[in-house]
Order: sequence, then C-alpha cells, then structure tokens
Amino acid sequence: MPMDEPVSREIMGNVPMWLAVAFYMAALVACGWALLALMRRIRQHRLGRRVAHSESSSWSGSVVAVLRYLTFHRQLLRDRFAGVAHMLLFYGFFVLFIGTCLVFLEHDTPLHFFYGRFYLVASLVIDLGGLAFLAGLSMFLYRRLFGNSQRILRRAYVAALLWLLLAIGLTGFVLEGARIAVDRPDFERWSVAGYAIGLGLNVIGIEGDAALRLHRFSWTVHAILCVAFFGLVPWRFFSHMVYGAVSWALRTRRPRSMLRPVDLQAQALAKQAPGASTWSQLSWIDLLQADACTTCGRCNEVCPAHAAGKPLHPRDVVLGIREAMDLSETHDLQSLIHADVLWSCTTCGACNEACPVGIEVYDKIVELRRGTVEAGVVPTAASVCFESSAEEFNPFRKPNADRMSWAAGLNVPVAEEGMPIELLYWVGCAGSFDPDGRSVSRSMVKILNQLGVSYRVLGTRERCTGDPVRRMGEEGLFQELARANIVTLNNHSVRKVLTHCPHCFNSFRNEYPQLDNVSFEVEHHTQFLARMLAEGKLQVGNSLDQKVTFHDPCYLGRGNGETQAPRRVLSSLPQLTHVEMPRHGRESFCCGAGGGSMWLDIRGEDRVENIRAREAADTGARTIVTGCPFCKGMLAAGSESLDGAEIDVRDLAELVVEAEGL
Amino acid sequence: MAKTAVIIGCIDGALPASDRAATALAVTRFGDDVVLCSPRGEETALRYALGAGANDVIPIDECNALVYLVGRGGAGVNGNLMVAQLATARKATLVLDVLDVEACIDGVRVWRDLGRGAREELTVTGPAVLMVADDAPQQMYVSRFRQITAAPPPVEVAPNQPISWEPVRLRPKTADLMSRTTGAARDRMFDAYGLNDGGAERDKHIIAADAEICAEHLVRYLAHHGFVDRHFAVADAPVDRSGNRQALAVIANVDQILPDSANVRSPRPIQGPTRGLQRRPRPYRPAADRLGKLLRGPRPLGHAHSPRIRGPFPVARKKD
Repeated sequence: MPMDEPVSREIMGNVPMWLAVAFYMAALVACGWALLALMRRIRQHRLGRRVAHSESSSWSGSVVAVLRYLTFHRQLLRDRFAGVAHMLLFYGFFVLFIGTCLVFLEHDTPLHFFYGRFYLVASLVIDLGGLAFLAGLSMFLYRRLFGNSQRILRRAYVAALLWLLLAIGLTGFVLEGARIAVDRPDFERWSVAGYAIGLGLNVIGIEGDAALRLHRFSWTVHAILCVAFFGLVPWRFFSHMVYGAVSWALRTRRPRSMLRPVDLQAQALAKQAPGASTWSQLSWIDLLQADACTTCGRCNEVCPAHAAGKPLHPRDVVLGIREAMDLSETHDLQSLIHADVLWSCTTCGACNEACPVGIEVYDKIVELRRGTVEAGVVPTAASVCFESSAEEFNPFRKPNADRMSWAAGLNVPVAEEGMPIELLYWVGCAGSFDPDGRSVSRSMVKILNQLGVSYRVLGTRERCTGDPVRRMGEEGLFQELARANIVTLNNHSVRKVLTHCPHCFNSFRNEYPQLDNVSFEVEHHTQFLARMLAEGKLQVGNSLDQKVTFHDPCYLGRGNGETQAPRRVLSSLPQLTHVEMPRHGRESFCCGAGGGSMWLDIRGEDRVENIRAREAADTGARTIVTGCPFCKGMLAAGSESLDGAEIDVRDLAELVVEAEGL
Repeated sequence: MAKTAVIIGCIDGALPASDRAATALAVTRFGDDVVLCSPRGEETALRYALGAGANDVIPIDECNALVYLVGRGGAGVNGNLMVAQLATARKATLVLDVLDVEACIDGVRVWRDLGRGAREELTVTGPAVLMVADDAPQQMYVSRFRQITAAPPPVEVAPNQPISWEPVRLRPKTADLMSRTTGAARDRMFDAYGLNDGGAERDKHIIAADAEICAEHLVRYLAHHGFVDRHFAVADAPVDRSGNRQALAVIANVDQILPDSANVRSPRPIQGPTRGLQRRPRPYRPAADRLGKLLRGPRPLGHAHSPRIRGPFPVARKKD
C-alpha cells in the first residue's frame, strides 16, 4: 500500500447498498432512455433529404474545428457576457464530468489511483470547476431574471432546465460539505468550496450524525437530479449539448449568400417537388441543426425584419421545425411557421453569421418558401414578379425591349450575336429599369469609356440572373433563367463579367457554377474600381469634400466577404471623410430589399430601410455610399423618412465619376 | 361528367392572365374534379393547367361539364362569340368578366366586374360558362417545376376549326334599351321582361359621395319602394372583398326579391313617428354616426330632430 494512501476518501460511504443500487439502476434507465431518444431523433434526421457531400469538410477537419470552437469559444464570445457565462458553465461542467468519471473508475473498476497528491489536485480542480459551473449558471439566471434583453426565450422549460442545473451544482457542494463536516480532515482543505461549506455546517452545529444524515439526504437529492438530467439530455435546448458540436462540425463552408444546389432533374425523376412543406422534406442537416439550437436568440437580435417589427423571428423558425419533428411526419409546417414569417425574410444572412452553432436559418426559410411556391400559395407580388421574370426576363414588369433605354445619349457598345467578349459589363435588371440603378449603370459606362477598356453589354439578350426568384423560392424559374444566361455567355466566350449588382455578382460567382461549367471570372464594380485606382489607371482629382458612410451590401460584404475594396476606393477619393456605422462589414445591417423584399411588402412597425437610414444619419455623414442598386433605392426611400436630416444616397461609381469630373 | 372544365390557350405564345386566373379558379374553387380543354393544344397551356392540378385533357366537343371557366386565350380569336356558342350549345348561362366564383348549394356564386370598380354578385343555377376577366386575381401560382414535370398528352387539333358545333345566329343588340341600364344582369333581365320602368337613366340622379353615403341613399331608395326591409341586418350580410358590407347587404337583399315584388311600388303607409320624414331635408348627422343610425331602425317616439344644417349657416354676431 502506498504511504500516502490515507489521503483519500471513501466513495459512496454513508450510502446504503440499496440506495446505491437504485441509483445505478435509475441512471442506467435514464441513460438508456436518453440514448433511445437520441437514436430516434437521429432516425428522424435520416428521413430528411440528402445534401451533397461537399457541403461539409473532411472528418479530421471537422473534429479540429469543433475542438478549436469548444476550446476558444470564439463564436460565442462575440457576445461577451453570454460568451463568458457559457465558457464558465462549459468548462465547469466538463471538469465535473471528468471528476465524476474518475470517481466511477475508482469505485467501480479495479483501478486504484484516487488518493494522495492526485486526489488533492483533483479535489481542488473539481471544486474550482464546480464553482465555475455555478458562476456561469448564475450569470445566465441573472440575465434571465434581471436583464432586459429582448432575445431571451422566456419560456418556463428553459428556466426550469437552468434551475435544475443549479440545483445539481448546489446539492453537489452541500453533500461534499456534509461529508467533510463529519470529521473535517486537514487535507480536505484542497476541496476549497467543500471545506468552506463543511466549516460553515460545523459552525451552525451540523456535525457528526447530523452531518451524516445531511450527507445522505443531499446525496439522494443530488442523485435524483442527476438522473433527471441524464434523461433530459435529448430534450429541448439541452439537446444542443449533443447536436451543437455536430452542427458546428458540419456547418457549411459555402459563402453566406450561396444557397445549396438543387438538382431538379433528380427530384423530378424521384417525383419529389423542391422545397419543404413538412419537416421530413427538409434536408437532414436542417433537421439536425434544428435540434442544435441553443435558443440564444442572437439570430433574432441581428435580424432586420425582426428589428422592423415584422412577424419573422428566425429562432422561432428553427424551433418550429424542432417542434414539428415531435409531431407526425406529414404535419404541415405552415401550421407552425406562418407564411408571413417566411415572406418577411430579406435573406441577408445575418442570422447565419450570428448563430453560435452554425445553423443556416435563411436556407431553411428559402426551402420553406419553395414549399409554398410548389403549393401555389404565394403573395400576389411574388407571383407577379415570377411571371414578369418568366415573360419579360426582369422582375420589374418592364418590357425587355426597353432594356437598353438607360443608355440613351451614351456610347455603349452592344455585343453582336456570337461575338467573343473579353469584358462583359452586366447591367442587370435594376441597372436597366430602376431609376436608382440606371444612374449607376450610366456612371459605370462613363468610367469604362474614360478608361478606354474594351467591353461590351448584351443589350436585350441579357436576362435576369434569377437571384430574386430563387430567393423567393422559384427554383425552377431560376434554373431556367440561369441556364439561358450561361448559354448566352458561353456563346460569346465571355472571359470576365463585370457587374455593379452584388446579387448578380453572387449568382455568377457562386450559383451558376452549381448548374453548369462556367469559365468566366466575375468582378464586382467596387473591386474593379479599387483595382483601377491601385494600378493608377483611374485618376481622381476633383475634391469631393464630403463626409460619407459606407453601407455594405449584404451580398457583397457578408455574402462574399468583400468589405475592403469599397473602402479602398473611398480612401482614394480626395478630401472625403469616411465614417463607419456601428454595424458595418460582415456585421452590416440589411437595407431591406433582399430575398424579394424589394417587391414584397410585409408590414411591420417600422421599415428596415428607415432603421438603416437613421443609423447612417447618426454618424453625422451627409452621404450614404453603397455598392448595390437595390440598397441605393431602399436607402434613398429610407432617407426620406428622416426628420430634419438631409442625407444623400449614392453609389460608389457615381462618387468616382464626380471625382473624375466626368 | 366532369364538374368543371377550364378552357385556356395562349396568345402570342404566352398564357394570358385571364387564362391563368381561370385555371387557378377552377382548381382552387372546385377541387380535384377539373378537366382541361385547350382548343389549340398549346404545350404551355397544357403544362400550366396540368401543373396546376387539372386531372385530364379532353377535346372540347366531348366535354360536358357543369361549369366552364374560359380564359381570353382559350376563347381565342372568336372572343366572346366562342363562349356564346359554347353556352348555347350546352344550354348554359353565360357570364362575362368573371372575377371570382365559388360553389354554393344552388349552383355557383359568381362575382363579375361591371367596370369602374363596380361588382356584381350572381347565383347561377345549372350549367354555366364563365369568361374570366383579365384582371381577375390570381388565386394560385403554378411553379416552373410543376409545369415542367407535368406530362401533357398529345392533343389533336383541327386547323382553323377550334370549335365544331353549329354557330348560333346572333340577335341584334338592343342598344337603346341596354344603354339605359347599369349593365348588371338583374337590370338587363328586368329590361328584357319590361319590369324596369325605363331603367336607371344615366347622368341623372347620380349620387357623388363616399361609399357609406351612397349605400345609405341606395338603402333609402330601396326601402322607400319596398324592395328591402328597412330593418335588415347588415351585420349578417356576407362581406364582399372590398369590405363594403352595406352595399353587399343591399345586393343580398335585392337577390331575395321575387319578380312579383319588383312591381310593388306603393308608398309606405304614413303612420307612426316617421310620418312625413321622407320628404324633409335629412337631418345632419356626423358621418361616423350615419351607418349606426341606419341600423338602429325606426326612431323612437318623441325623437328630437337635430337642427337643419342645409342652407346658410347662422352668423354669430359679435356682441359689443
């Protein structure tokens, strides 16, 4: 026997055999029940549609990503308070779990190691872990009880589960303190919290048999609570402990604004319509992500539709799917997620960006929209947009023959049929038909002509890229338009596409390659202008003397990660003061036009564009600069709502034209 | 026999809005018993209707449905003549400019467009041929996927003979008579039977006011001539899509009139507290109160009239 063996404790001492057996039996039943529930859930996940394997990275990469995620909590620490609380809770729980495993190994296996210095260090670490666990829980409970955060899910079961964890932690310390209070050995000072509680119990007169009785009682309560916890692991937001890490590991590596590919041909052969109207029509990863939801509400906090008081609460969409999974396989999702909720989404992707477990909320919304489109129940504005896109190849209900009317009075070279094109300037529907977009197109043409670049436009052969109809759920029409555009571009052997519309940019860059092999490069006009300025081909001499702020279009900044090019252009313009809005770059706030919201109008208490215009005005800037014709139009409308503040909305190209003196 | 047939076709290769609306009405209002008749058999039309949920495609000659919903493209170059022929051949009621339709116990209830925002609600018993208006609301959207995956059967089309029954002889239009009516089916029917007493002459007695006041005048007129009970329950009336419950209530009550009652024009017996009130200037009431007053029924005995407001307002002289 080693010399320092007395420095240990009797495990399960003071616990009668029948109670220990009952605990083990109950724990086994609870774990078995939880395991069965998890397996049943996994079977449900497997009922979902299959998605392409390229969706996720390799297994080793995923494991490393999860370990880094859990270790550093970087995604969670975006919200400092919640991040720190979760970190304490997680690390505390982890240490307590390891400590429990050590106790189990010592007691129920032939291994013998829980004594001496190891015991002392383990006692200290486990106690500190327990304190961290209680501290994290207390922070969450404090925020729930006394905080005024709108994003907290105020449902009884969430609070009940938090209180359960707190009770487990507290009874753990009480039973440890009672055990120590019996004889208070000196080496137990390493159990800092337990020793202090034991001391306290002695002070109030609980010692000897009373301490033993208290120990047995608190052990019993602790055991019952732990058994309940084991059984509740697969239930509601507790399940994020299992699925959260898996969801993070399998999170998409696609650009934020890129939707999953849809193989319509395969679906037609399988007689399976695109979209989902029941939970089993969603992809397996959507179902798994629904179970991974922590109900933290960060998605609600950043959602522009939610901020404008529209009926959309992204968290409720995810929870709606989770609730539906508890119902029958054919249960209509629309009974849980109302159509207005779906049509409020601007597909800005802020929810996806904010989610701490990598849930792709807006992909689910688009999938559900596809379901409503296939069911034929769409808002009139959406069906008008679809029909216009199908018949006139633009969603603005304008005759396609007028597509070049924006270029009146300008020298714009239109490509002849089949002519090879080195640089194609893709004007887009907004650039062709929308007054706000037309001025951008005209500015770009002036810049291109000034540079002497060889470029062409397609004129009336150009069609909508299909971005709005895809976001509104009309996948078939999107693919029809996209394939027609790909044929046109291939016929012209286009080498590079230049566009001032981030939606067209996203379609060409990310979504057209899903359909066919495309050989052209794509460049957004902010990137093009930054490049021209950097290469010295573009000379800007006129003083602008303005204070401006840049609004990052969602499909450029968050969607495709391009936040620096427009800022480089702004910094090149003489005497221009650039100030940032609080929400900028990848955390930018939507203008309210995306996802077909340019045409749809789900009413809220406020308007998204008004909120953004107010935010811009608060910076003191007199001009909002953006890089998207849709954003320009929306923010111009929003700026009209400002009281007293006159604020101008311009595209980056228009500023460059002014600085060039064209 | 199919319950509903939808007759659609393309114009310049595209399916007109009325044809889409006709298809949507057929599918959404009459469920799963819908067949398609496409006179020219265009693939676009076939795919659209089958994608929308039509069960079958059958030649128009063989179709014997209770309700025919016809789009502008389906009517083709013959336009209204084709639907008139169809209605004659099927001994069906023809209704043009249909905006909406629904099945009811008696047959089908139809809402048609009278122009300039006016609507008419009709109940058609027996077979009906309904020509859907261009601006009828789209009740459903047929996705591209559904159109693409619909597998239309080959349709044999006889060139230049879209319809094969004998054309009917057109009757001369009684322009003089018709021009004096509002165009509503009931007026026209009353005209045909000589019940209309000359009909409503245009440009005379036009009430230019908001809907509430117009409705009030209309109700007074109808009540005065005994067409409706003055105390009818507006709240029980069905609500039309424009939300004008009162106007619809009037229509609903007019619909219940038997032809005999149309000639009952005798003035109401003069008795009780309302005696002589009809010929006086109307007492002024705030607009919001008018409908409420109207619904309350007869004024109680001893009702104190508010002072007349028409005519010059009294000038309040300043006291020195």
